[in-house]
Formats: sequence, structure tokens, C-alpha cells
Amino acid sequence: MSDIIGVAIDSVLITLVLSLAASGLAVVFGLIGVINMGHGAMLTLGAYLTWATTTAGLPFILAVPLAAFGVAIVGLLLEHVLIRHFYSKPFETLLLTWGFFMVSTEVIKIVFGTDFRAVSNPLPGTIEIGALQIPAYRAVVAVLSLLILLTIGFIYKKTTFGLRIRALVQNQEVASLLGQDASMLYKQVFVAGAFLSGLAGALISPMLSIDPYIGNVYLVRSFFVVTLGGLGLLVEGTIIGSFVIGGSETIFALATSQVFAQTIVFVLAVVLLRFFPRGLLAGRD
Amino acid sequence: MGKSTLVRTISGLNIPTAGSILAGGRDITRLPPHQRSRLGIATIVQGRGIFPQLTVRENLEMGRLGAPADKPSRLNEVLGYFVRLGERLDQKAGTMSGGEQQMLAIGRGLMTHPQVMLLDEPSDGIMPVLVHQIAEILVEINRMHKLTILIVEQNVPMVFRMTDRCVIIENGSVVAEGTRADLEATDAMREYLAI
Repeated sequence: MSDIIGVAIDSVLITLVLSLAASGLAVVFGLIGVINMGHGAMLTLGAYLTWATTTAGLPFILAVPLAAFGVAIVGLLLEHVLIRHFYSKPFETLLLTWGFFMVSTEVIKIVFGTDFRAVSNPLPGTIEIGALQIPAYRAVVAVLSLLILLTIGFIYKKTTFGLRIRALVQNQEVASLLGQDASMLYKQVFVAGAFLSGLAGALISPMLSIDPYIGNVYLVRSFFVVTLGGLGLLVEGTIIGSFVIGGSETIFALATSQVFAQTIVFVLAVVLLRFFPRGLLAGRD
Repeated sequence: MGKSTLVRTISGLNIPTAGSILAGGRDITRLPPHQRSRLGIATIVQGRGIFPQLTVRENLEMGRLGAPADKPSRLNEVLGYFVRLGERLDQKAGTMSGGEQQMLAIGRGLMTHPQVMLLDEPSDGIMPVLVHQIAEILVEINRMHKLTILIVEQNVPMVFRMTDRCVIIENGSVVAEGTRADLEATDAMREYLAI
């Protein structure tokens, strides 16, 4: 029984952490249609900036927002110099962000090297619930992930800024005819996505060994999460997509091996996309 | 240039290949649409252009967000003109009828406190009874707010009921212009307009 509860809790934790990792892509791809191949690189950069600043002596709690803002600035530069000229051209933005991924990966290698790096766990130890032991930091990140997603949902659904974005997504021409500066709104969304990717990289960094390709795993998974959940469904879509891609893997691993469970999950994702090409929650917005 | 192209060009959605557009003596030819809107030009596009996934209230709020910051909200005024909108404030705009969507588009434009309102085919796909109602409201808005309304329309009776001055454009050329009386004065023109 405790095994099942343990797997269930593990599944929830993985779902929420993956939701956090995918949130930046959910915003950029889901709202403004930019197939951001640089999402993983932004996540990697967030992790490295956290490693660099904590290694330099900055407390982890300050290093995390600093890393997120650092990645947001990189996102701003990328958007301002390149992306803003190609918003209506998905293939071009895909190539540009792919280019960003390759260049930034090489820059990371040059600046930080290719050795594995590790950020000290700021909350070592476990939380004990009965016989179950949950890693404390992982639990905190899961709760933070949920709070971050709920905050994104609140901003999107309940604020004036969110209203402008929802209008822009539905009809850019009319939004601009109502006095909305579409270019500025696109920029803000892209930078917000970069910020979230950096934040995810920073928060996840103590949970794994950092190398220049750490973001690649999350890039592929994030695309599955966003497309499975449904574009534009920032909270519920991201969580459902993350459960299918991340959380269910733990459950499948109960009955089989980890590698086979991963295979099952990706086959399942492809089959689901065949029957729900607009995502599992499409039409619920 | 076609009639809809004219509206799109004035609103900034199309860039003219020649000529210039002046608003209050200022050259706005190169201004993007959002800046023209801020100068007081409200455009109601053909097909209405409501945000279907937003509620009626949110659509109207988008109009308010486009108004100058020092202007008060016109929500009550708009709901006074279009009573049906008040009954459907929390309904998704995409679920309303064509006529109600047109009322919403006009009401939302009014929320921006415009000095000029451009309407592109407001009777398109709307029941005749609602066309009449919308025309009456537009006349009242024009009278109450001293709002200049430029309307592109193929429904001649509607145009004649509303307008002070008409310009007939066909295939990009001006065929005739004048008041309703001017245009109805000759048999040839009455036949041309099928009235």
C-alpha cells in the first residue's frame, strides 16, 4: 500500500516539476505560436547562472531570481534582434531559435566548460509522511511549480495584461485597432516565457548534474506536454500534459523497467496526439 | 482601390502605395493601427472582428483599454444603446448572433471614445430587423456624440437612412457623390442604385 502511495506522490512531484519546466514553452509556443527550439537552452542557461552565482557565494534564494532575470534579458535580446521580425512565420522562428540553441550551447561550453557541475541542495533532508520519505527540496519545488502555474493562470485570466494577451491571440488585427501595441505585447510574452524557462532551470538545478545539454531532455518533453495539453491552456493543459509525459512514467515503471516505461509514455503520447491533434483539453478555453 | 481597402488603409491595416492620409491636419500615413486608434479612429471591420472566446464584458473592456486614460468608462452608455449586450455580459461573444456581435463591435468601438468611426459592411449577414435597429442607433450616436461616421455599405436603403453624404465607388473609381437628394434626383442614378 505504501508503495502505491509512494508512487502516486512521486508521480505528482514529477508532474509538477515537469509542468514548471514546460511553462516557458507553454507561454511562448502556446500563446504566440513561436516554436521555441531555444527553450531547452534557456533552461540550461538558468541552471548554469544559478551554479555560477551560488559558487560565487550568492545565497540560492537570490541566485534563482537573478538567473531567471538573466535569461529574460537574453530572451529580450533574442526577441528584439531576431524574433520580432518573424512572428507570422513559424518556420523561420523555428530555425532562428534552433540557431540560438546551437550558439548558446557553444557559448555555455566555452564559458562554463563541459564538466558536470552541481548546485548544492539548499534543502537537504526529507519530509516524512508515515513510512514515506519525500525529498524536501523536490517537494518544495513541486509546490512552487504549482504556485507559479496558478500565478500564470491568474495573470492570464484575471488581469488587464492577460486580457490584452488573450485578445491579441484571438485577433491581432482587431487588438491593434483597439489601441494595443501588438509588437510590444509579443515582446512581453516572449520575455515572460524566457523568464519562466530560466526560473525552471534555476529551480531544477540542485536536482541534477548540470551539463551543456541538460535542457535537451526538457525541450522534447516540454513540446509533448504543451501539444498534448492543448495550446493556450496554460495551467490545466500543462498539468495534464505533464502528467501524461512525466507522471505516468513513474506509474508504468511500477510494472516494468524505467526505459520501457519511457517508451510506453512516448508511444502513448503519439497515439493520443493522433486522436486529439489539438490536445487532450482542446476546446475547453 | 476597393471600399474595404479604403477603410483598411485609413485604419492603418493596409499601407497605401501612393497619397497620404491626414487626421486633424496631421499626416498619419505611416502610423501603425494602434497609434491611429489612440488618435481617435475606431474601426469596425467587416465580419465584426469580435474576440469570440472573450465574454461580452471582456470585449467591451478591450475597448475601454484603448480609450485615453483621462476619459471615463462609457460602459453604461453603451449598454443603454445596446440593451441586449447588458443581458449577455458574461456570455462568450462567439456564441451570440451576427446582429448581436455587430452591436458588440460598435459598442466596443464607442468605448474607445473615438472622434471618427469607420464601419465596413455593418449589415453583412444580419437580419433586416436588426440592420434597421443598428442604423437607428448609429444615427443617434452620431447626433449625441457629434461623432463622424464613415460607413462602407452595399445596403443602399440603410445608407440613405443614415448618411448626410454618399460617395459611390465601383471598381476603385468614384461613380457619383452627393446627398441622398442629389443621388435620387436622376432616373439613371435611381436605376443604377436599384431604388
